[in-house]
Amino acid sequence: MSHPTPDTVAKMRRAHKVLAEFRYEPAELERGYANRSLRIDISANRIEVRPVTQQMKDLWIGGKGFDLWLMFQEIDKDTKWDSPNNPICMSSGPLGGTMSFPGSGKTLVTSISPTTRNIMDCNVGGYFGPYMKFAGFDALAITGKASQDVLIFIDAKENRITIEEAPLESADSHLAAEEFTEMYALDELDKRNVAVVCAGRAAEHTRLGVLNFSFYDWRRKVARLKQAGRGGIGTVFRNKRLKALVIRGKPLAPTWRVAESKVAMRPAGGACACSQDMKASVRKIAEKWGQDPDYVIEMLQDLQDQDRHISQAAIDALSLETGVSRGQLYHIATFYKAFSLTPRGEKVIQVCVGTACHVKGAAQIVSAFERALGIKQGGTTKDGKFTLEAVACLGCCSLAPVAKVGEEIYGNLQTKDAPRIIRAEGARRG
Amino acid sequence: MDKLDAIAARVNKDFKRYQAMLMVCTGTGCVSAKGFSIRDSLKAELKARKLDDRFLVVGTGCNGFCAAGPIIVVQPEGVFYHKVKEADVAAIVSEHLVGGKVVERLLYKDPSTGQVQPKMADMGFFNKQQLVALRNKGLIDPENVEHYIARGGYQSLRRLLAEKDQAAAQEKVINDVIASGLRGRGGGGFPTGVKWEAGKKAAIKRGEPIYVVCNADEGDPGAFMDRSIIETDPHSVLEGMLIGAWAVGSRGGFVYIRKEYPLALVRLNKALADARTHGLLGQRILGSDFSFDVKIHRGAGAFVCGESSALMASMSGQAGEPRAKYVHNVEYGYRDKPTILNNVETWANIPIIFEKGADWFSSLGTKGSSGTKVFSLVGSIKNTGLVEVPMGITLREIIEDIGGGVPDGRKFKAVQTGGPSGGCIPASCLEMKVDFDSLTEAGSMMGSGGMIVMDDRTCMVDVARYFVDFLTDESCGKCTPCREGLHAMNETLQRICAGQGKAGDIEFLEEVAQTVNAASLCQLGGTAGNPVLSTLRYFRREYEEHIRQKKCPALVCKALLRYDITDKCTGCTLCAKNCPTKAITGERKKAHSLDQAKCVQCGVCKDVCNFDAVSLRSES
Repeated sequence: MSHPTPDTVAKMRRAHKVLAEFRYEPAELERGYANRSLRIDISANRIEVRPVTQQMKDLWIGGKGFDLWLMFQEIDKDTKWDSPNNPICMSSGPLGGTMSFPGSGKTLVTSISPTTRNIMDCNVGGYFGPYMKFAGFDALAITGKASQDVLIFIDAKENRITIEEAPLESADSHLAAEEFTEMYALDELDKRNVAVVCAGRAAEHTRLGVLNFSFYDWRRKVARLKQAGRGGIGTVFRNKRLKALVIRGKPLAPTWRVAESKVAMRPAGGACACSQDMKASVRKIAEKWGQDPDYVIEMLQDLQDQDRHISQAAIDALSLETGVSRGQLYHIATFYKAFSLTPRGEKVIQVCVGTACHVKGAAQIVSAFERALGIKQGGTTKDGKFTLEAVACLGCCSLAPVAKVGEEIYGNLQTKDAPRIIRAEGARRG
Repeated sequence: MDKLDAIAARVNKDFKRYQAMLMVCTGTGCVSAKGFSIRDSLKAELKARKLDDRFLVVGTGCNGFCAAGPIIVVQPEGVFYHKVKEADVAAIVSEHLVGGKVVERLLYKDPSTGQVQPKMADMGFFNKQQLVALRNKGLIDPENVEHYIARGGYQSLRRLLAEKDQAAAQEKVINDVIASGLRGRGGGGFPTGVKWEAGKKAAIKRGEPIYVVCNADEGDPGAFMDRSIIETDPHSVLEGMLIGAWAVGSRGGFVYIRKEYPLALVRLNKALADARTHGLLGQRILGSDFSFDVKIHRGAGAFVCGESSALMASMSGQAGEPRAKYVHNVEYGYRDKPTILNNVETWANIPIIFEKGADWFSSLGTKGSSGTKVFSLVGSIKNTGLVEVPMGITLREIIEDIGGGVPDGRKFKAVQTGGPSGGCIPASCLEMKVDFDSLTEAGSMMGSGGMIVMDDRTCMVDVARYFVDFLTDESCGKCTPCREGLHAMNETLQRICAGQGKAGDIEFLEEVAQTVNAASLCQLGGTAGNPVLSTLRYFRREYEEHIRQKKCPALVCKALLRYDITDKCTGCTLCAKNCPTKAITGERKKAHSLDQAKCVQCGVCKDVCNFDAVSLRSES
C-alpha cells in the first residue's frame, strides 16, 4: 500500500474548517468505568458530556447494553434508518481495553439498520473502543446529519473534541485510514495511538455498507481494518455525511520500540523460555539437518528419540533455530503419530494391530498387556517404565501376532505371554 | 574395459572361487528371529575351521518365505534350509559343507504330501512365482553395490547414457515405458510412462525443474513389499529412479520412507553412499552430462502420507494434508514444481524393462495389466511371506498352490486386498484373475499388494469395524465426508459389534459409505467406504446375524460371547487364579462356576485351561 505523502496530508489538513470545538476534563477510570458518555450532534454541531449513572451500570453493564440505552434516548416511533435522529452508538464495556480476556478490545456498535430496518448491533476489533475508554468515555452517541463531509476528531492528548469539514480526504476506508493516521500521528511510533472509523464509497450506494475500524500494524507498517459488518451501519455513517471519526489516544508510552520488541528479537535467538542445555541440544539437531525447514519432521523425530517426548521448550527452541512458527511445529507434532507431547516410558511396548495380527487375535494381546501393566493403550505406567502402544503393522506379518520392545521382537504371541515379557523387559536394562 | 564391466568380471570370478555360497536371509522377518546372529556365527564357524576361503556367507535381503524363517540357501545347488537356529550352524558346516551330505532335519517338508523338498526350485511356494522386481532376491548382498553390478546392474543406465542422440533416447525411454504397459504398483495403477510424459511436458512448458520421488511410505497394515524390495535390492530402485530422472530431465530426487523401517533405511543410505563413490549418483554420472542426486525424507507415522499430495506436503516439513485432485502432482507437485512420484516396486521394475525390452515386459501378465506383482501373503495361511507372481494368476493359485492354503484344517473365508481402503473377496471368487481391473470389479482393489487371508474364525463385521477404526484414526480431518462419515460408520459398527445393532443400521452404513467414497477430497477418503461396502456385498448375512440375533458366528465380538465352564472341569483353580474380574469361583478339586454378570469375556480362562473345560458360544 502506498502511504500518502506528507505534502498531500498537509494540504488535506489545511482544507479543514473547524465547525465546533469542545474541551473536557480528563477522567480517572474507576472499576472499568469513566462514568460519563459523549453525545455529538452533527446537525447542530453540538458536543456534550452526559453522566453514566449507577442505575445504567447496574442494569445495562456496558457495551451493547449501554448502546441500546442510548439509542432509546434518541429515537422515537417514526425514526427510520436515514432519519437524522437515528444515532450511531458505540461503547466499550467495563473490561474494554484491559487485555484480560479475549474480546475485551472490542467495540459494540448499534444503529437502526438500513437492511433490516430494525435496531442492529455488531462488534468490531480495532483500537477505537479501548482508546475511547482511556479518553474517559464509556459510550458515544452520534446523531444528526451534516450538510457536507465532516470529521469528528477526539484528541485525548489535548482533551479536545472537534467537528471539522473534511473535503479532501478519501472516503474509501483503506485510503482514509492511512491518511488520517498519517495526519494525526506525531511520528512513526505514535501511529499506533491513532484509530480511525470510516466507511467507503460503496456504503453510499448500498444498504449494507460496513464500518471500518483501524489499528496501526507496526510490523507491516500499515493501518489495518476491522469491520463492524452487520446490518449496514456504514451506510448510516455515510448518510450522515461522516467521513471519519478519529481518535488520538493518550500516548501510551511503549516500554519498547519495534526493533527491540520481544517478538522482533525472537529470530535472533533472544527470547526463549528454555534452558541453555535445551537450546544447545536442539541446535545440534537442527544443524544436523542444515536448519532446513523442509526437515523439521526429521528434527522432531530426533528430539522425540532423544527426550522421549516433544516438550514446549523444545518447540520454542526449534522455532528459534528454524524460523518455523511454534504453531506450525505444534501442528506437526500433533498430526504425526511418531510424536508425543507427554514423556513416553523408558521402554515402549508396541503391540502390532496390523491386519495380519488383527485376524490372529491382536486385540486380545493388547488387553492382556493392558491388564498386566494396569494401563490403557497409549498410557504410561506411573513409574515411567513402560508405555503401551497399539501400532499398525511392524512389517513382520509372518510372526503374527507380534509385539516389539525396543529392538526386540516377540512373535507368535499368546495372551499369557504378556506378563512374562514385561518381567523380562523390566529386568533388562537399557 | 569399462569400470562397471571390470567390477562385474572381478566379482563373478571371485564368486567362482568359492565351492559354495551360503545365502542367509537377513530381511526383517528373519532378523527378528535372529537372522543376523546366524549369519555372524556361520561366518565365525567357517573362520574358526579355516574354511572361509572355500565358502562365502552372504547376508541377503528377504527370501520371501517368511513362515519358514530363518532361512539359509546353499548356492549354487539351491539347497533350502528352514527354521535354522544358531545351534544348527555347526551341523550345516560339518555335515553339509565338509561331509557333503545335506542336513535332513532342516529341510522343508511339503505339508500336504509330507515329502522332503531339499531344493528351493522344487517347492510349491517358489515354483509358481516369477521374479521381475525381486529378480535379485536371495542372490546378492543388498549392502554391496558390486554384487548388484555383478548381476548386470546399472548396465541399462550406462547404455542409455552412452546414446549419441540423448534427446531422442530420452524420448524413446518414455515411449518404451508406455509400450511396456507398466502401471503404478502403489495402488492407483496409473500408467507410469504417461505420468513421465506429462511431467516432462509440464517442466518444459514452464521452464521449471522437475523432481522424481520414490514413495516408500508403506502405510497399509499387512503389507511389506516395498520394505522388502529396499531391504533386498535397493540399487534396482535407485537405478530405476536414475533412468526415470534422466528421461524426464530431472536433477533432484527424493525417497520418502517410513521411519518404522530401520533396516530398509540403513540399506538405502548405504546404497546412496556407495552409488556416489562409484560415480553412479551426483555430478556427471558415469562421465556423462547427466547429474542427479537423491535425498531421503523420513515419514513420521501418518497413513495419509501415502497419498501423493499429502506426501509432498510432508516432504516440505508440513502436516500431511492432501489437496484437491484437480491439481496434478506431475504439474504442481513438490514445491509446486512438476513431480513424478512412483512407488518402490514401480521403480524396481524399470531397469529390467531396459535390460530385456518393453516387448518382453508387456508379454508378461495380462493385456491391461502387464508384468508381475509382489504380494505380501499373510494372515491365516500356511506359507506366509512375500510372493511375486505374473498378473492374471488366479487367487486360488496364490492362496492354495503358493500359500499352501489355510492351516489347522480351518475353512477359507475371505481374502482382503488393497489395504484398509480395499475390500474382502470371498471364497466364491477364488477363480478370479488377479489384475488391476478384476480386483476393482470385485469391489476391492490392487492397492500396494497386501493380501490377508481370513478363515472362519474371522468376523467380517469386526474386520469392517477394524478398518473403519483405523481409517478414522488416520483421516487427516481436512474434508468433511471422510472425517465425519468415518466417525458415523465407526460408531455404528461398534454398536453392532457390541450387540446393540438395530434395524436400519445396514442401510445407513451403505448410504454413508457411498457418500464418503463419492465426496471425499483424496483417495484415502475416496475409498474409505470400501471395507464396509465389500463386506456388505459378500457377507451381509453376518451383519444381519449380529443385528437381529445378536450373534457373532465367528466368535470374535466380545459382547456377543458367552464363556461357560463345562463338566470337564477338574477344579485345578488355574482359571480362577487368572480371572481378572474374579468371576470364577469354586473349591479346589470341585467343578468351578462362572458368574456371567462379572465376566468381561477376556478369554483368559479358556487360554489357561489345560482340560478344555471352558466352552465358548455365541447364541441369541
